[in-house]
Amino acid sequence: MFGLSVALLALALVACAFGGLALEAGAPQLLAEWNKPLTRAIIRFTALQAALSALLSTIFALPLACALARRRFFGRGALIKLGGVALVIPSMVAVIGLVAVHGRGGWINDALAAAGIARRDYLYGLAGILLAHVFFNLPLAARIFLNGLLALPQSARSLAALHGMRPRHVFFHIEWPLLRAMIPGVFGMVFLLCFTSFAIVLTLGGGPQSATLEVAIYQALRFDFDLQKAVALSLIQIALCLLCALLFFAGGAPFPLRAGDARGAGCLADSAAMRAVDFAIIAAAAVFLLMPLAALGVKALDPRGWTILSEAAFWHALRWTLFIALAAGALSCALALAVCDVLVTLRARRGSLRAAGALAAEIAGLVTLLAPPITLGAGLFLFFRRFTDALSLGPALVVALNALLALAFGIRILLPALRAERGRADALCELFGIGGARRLRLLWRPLRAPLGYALAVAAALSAGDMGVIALFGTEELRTLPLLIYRLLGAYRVEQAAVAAAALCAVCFALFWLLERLVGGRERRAHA
Amino acid sequence: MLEVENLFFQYPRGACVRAHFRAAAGAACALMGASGAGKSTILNLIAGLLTPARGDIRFHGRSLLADKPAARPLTYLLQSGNLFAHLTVRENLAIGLHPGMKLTSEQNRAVERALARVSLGGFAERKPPSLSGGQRQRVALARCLARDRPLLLLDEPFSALDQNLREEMLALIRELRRDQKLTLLLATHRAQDAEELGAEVVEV
Amino acid sequence: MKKIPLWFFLAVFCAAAGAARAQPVLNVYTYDSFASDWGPGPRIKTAFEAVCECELNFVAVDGSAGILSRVRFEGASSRADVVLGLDTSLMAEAKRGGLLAPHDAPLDALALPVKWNDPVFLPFDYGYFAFIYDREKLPSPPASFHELVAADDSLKIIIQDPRSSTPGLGLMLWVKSLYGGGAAEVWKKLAGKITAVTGGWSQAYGMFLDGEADMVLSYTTSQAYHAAAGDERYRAAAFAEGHGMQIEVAARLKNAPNPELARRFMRFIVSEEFQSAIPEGNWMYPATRLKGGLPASFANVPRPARALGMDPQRIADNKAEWVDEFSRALRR
Repeated sequence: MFGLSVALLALALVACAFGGLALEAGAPQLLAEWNKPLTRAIIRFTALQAALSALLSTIFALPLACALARRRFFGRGALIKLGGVALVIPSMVAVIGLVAVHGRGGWINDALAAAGIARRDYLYGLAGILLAHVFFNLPLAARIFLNGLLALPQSARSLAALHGMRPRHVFFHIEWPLLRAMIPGVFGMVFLLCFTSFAIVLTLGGGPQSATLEVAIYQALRFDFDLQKAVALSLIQIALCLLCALLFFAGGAPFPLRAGDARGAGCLADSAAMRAVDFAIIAAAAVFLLMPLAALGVKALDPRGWTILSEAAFWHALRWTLFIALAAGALSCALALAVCDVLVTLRARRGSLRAAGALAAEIAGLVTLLAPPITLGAGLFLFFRRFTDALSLGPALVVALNALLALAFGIRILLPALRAERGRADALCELFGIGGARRLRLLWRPLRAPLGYALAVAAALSAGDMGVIALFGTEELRTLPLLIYRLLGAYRVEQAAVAAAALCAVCFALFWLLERLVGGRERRAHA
Repeated sequence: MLEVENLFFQYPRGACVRAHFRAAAGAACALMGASGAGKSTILNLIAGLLTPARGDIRFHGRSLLADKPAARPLTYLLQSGNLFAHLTVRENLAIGLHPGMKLTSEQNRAVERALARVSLGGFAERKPPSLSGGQRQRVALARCLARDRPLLLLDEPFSALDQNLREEMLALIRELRRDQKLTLLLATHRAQDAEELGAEVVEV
Repeated sequence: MKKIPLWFFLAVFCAAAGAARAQPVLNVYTYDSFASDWGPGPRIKTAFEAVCECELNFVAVDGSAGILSRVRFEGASSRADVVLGLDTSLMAEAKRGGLLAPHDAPLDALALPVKWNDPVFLPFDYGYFAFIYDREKLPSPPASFHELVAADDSLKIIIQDPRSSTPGLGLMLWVKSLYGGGAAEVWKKLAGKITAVTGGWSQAYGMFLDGEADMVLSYTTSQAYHAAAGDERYRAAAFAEGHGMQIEVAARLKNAPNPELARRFMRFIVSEEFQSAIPEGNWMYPATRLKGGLPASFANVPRPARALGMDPQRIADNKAEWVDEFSRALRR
């Protein structure tokens, strides 16, 4: 029961965090906090922006996924790949790119001004939050929808031709029913990600009128040192998120994430008009998604910023970033694998109570996605400071917390794969008496691809983390996100842009390398 | 009468397929050959899923080449993947009669009859993943039946079935042929299949 | 996979070993831009280490409001000897916890615009809040706070959140001391002009330099930074009513692991070595008169007609209510 003990360890970490806070603050004033008009206003806004972000991301992702499934063109693979990595672009980096494109002095406003149209501010406030959230989540949502569409067998194309299906028939009777089944899962995923969004709301929110719970927690903890309030708000956030998760995912398992490949049935029925519309959609999405990255690249070309590359601080931060990314990625993967193994075992045992328990556990696996990292971090710190010199645990805590934060993604990636593989292999292993390490080795090959993907996501997410490192960063323990923040604080905008581009490159490189090295060559996913 | 005349097709990678044969109306004809010989390609050409480089395909004297696949007087049972997993059995049949699944009451009755014919009367609202392999194959055949076209193309219809199911399918196909006066074109790699359907063999 | 736990423990070990070095280590908690490689930190570190036979370690926290939280957060495990970077608005709150000890440093060298005799908090620099503008884009900026409030909404400004940022809090107090009970009205009039209220100074200033607004809340001395870099475009707008003033202070912790070193460091703060690192390191006015005078880059920085300050106790008593007023006014 190695898996169970590791899974319990993850649970214990979360419990320690909340225990630490509770011991320090006493019982949180949940009701008092809940009843405050300000808290209500914050909750309303948090839910509103999350719902709108999820709605917009889903609505735009649907036609994009259809267009990508139908069309073959140069760069398609790269564009789809981008959908997989958009998730791991550090938000502070993306914000720099978004401001450069959509800000008042950005490319779009420059173009408007050149065309004689007045500049307009649309990047701050709710609109800005939505824009940034769609930027992050549209590719991810489209990728999940696309995976669903690509699951259509090659013969679907022949069937459509044999029965004379027109594009509208294909859409209404084949594509739409497939997509419709995935909408609650995708909407729910984006909703949860945006519900807990932090850096984007803090920078693009435009002020107190658009604070989210996560921001309020951050402020309570960082600036007021009001532990009770922080715990109360965190618990409210977790409870609300769990409630939403139950609503969205009750119909089935939460969204599966899959690396997969991008081949599939192609276009089932075509027309010139549809071809034009599809390519217009793809072009618009590509421009929307690539422009901020391009803008960041252009900013990084400013030679005034290059001096950062010759400073020891940059390389110091780079080393720490890589260490934390790799260590947290590996730990997160191990935790996710253990949790998934336990979940699959629970599911395999029949009995409705156990099955219900397994679904509950699966949703609970999302808790780390819902729990504010800063609360977890503060809680762990307060817990450990009772026993030891907690400051010296800094690197360990940063690694452990980042591993926990990426756990939800790891579970979403590994669970479907492990379930399928164990379904195939368990009986055989029983029959032939294969156990222990041999069984692991047997499972390794089919699980390699999802493991590589999970590791890549976890490592890249940890590399871009700002929430945890902001809490534990010291002179010694400095990562690239912290360095960027400090460069900005020292009027070094050009250098910050170069460091941000470097961070973005590190995230992409980590993602690509780990997925390649651990995952092996991209193989066709099992049906 | 089906006439396949000097048909020639070339894949982009170089492999090419030729065919020249005729089958009398109501007759059965088996395309025989090892796998990879081009049997499916010939069926795809006749069905209109592929376009030949040269040659002609005529049915009752009229060339089919200009017709879209759905307009050709034929129905085609693919080797696999005949059903959409997310549609019910009824919808999978309906899609064969109208691509938008808008059926007249007459067509609805045809769907019911076809399902009853393959002994799946009570399965109309089920979805394919909940059916056995043999049942799925029968649903696909029921669709061919409901479409009521004079020419039936079968691509390895028995390859995934065990002996019992094979017998069952064979009986069903024989019956259909007799009742609906179908012209049958079968792609197979086993001589036995051709023999039991009384089909004339065309080597590919 | 197998190697990672090894590195992991190694790193933990190294970090732990850092605590056990032979020389005493003086830990100074400060905000990140002070400690950063581009702030005054490194120069001060070198200068102090040359005389103290110790190691000076800056622990950087994101923003001055976080310093106090950080010390409380760490509780008994805290290694802080000195906190550096609080300001007048946080003084009363900091005293309340009983965390701090008297600084024991001589105050006669101080050259502040106001008289200073606090026994616990030692000023190390000061500055005036101001709106910075780009001369080329905004040839005629508002000449008074009143003009700013009355200006058309097409004039865009970026400010900071008073909860998380010192300038943000400074602006709130500035408005309060100018308008008193009418502050909420002023915020409502400003709301249309505010592009963004950022969490910290850095985001705000970065956005301004990116051209996101016409003016940004900062310090008059930001102009000196640009002047030193040879850029004369960015100017501080001088307001006729006077400017909010910030005095940044340091304090010694009662539970400091190295109380004697901490006392020495407090005395060092008012020395020429420390103070000379301030103007072009922290881009603020030094707390003492420098022997060589101010650097040339400060020559054109406008000196406010009046320095507006507020009693620390009054701030502590009313801060929560005023922040609430600010939030509600901007919530529209």
